[in-house]
Amino acid sequence: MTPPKRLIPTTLLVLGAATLLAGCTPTIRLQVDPIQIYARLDADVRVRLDQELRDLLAENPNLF
Amino acid sequence: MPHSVSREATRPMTFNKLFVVGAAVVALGVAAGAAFGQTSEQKAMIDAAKVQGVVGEQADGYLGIRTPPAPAPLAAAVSDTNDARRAVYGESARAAGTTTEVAAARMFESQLFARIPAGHWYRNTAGQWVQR
Repeated sequence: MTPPKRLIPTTLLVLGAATLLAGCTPTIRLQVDPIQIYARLDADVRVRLDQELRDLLAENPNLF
Repeated sequence: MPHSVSREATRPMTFNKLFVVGAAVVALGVAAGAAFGQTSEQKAMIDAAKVQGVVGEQADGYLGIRTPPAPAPLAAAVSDTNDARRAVYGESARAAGTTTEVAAARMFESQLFARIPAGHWYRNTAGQWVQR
């Protein structure tokens, strides 16, 4: 009887912490991670850009 | 009278055309200078500096000097290379429909990072120099 009652506040605490973390993490990552900027690009732009960059590297070996 | 007025009006036009052509030639020259400004000596200098840990790739897609100040010829080599990179990133970005900054950062992320040999230094997205 007693252990389940103790479990309820613990579960609530864990859920609360998880919600807070989930709420904060994307905000922090948006500021430092270029992948986040890149992820917001249109899929067509992404595919086109990667192809352009592969060609760029192949055509300008002196610059990289 | 109207005839002479129209003639006078065409003269500045010719000057304007000459100016536009001249500006285009100068702009092309500058662009070509940026694209081909980097010499093979500069490339060799940068490669040596990368091995020494003086120069490294940055997450923004450009080269950086890890231990400033660098000797003037090396600083010029880095600057010339970055100018040339900026020009080609701009072309790729326009072709794909995005910005030069996004293209440059994606270049590091998708191509340049994987090519960094162990022992070389690079600057991560947080601005810290890290040894591979």
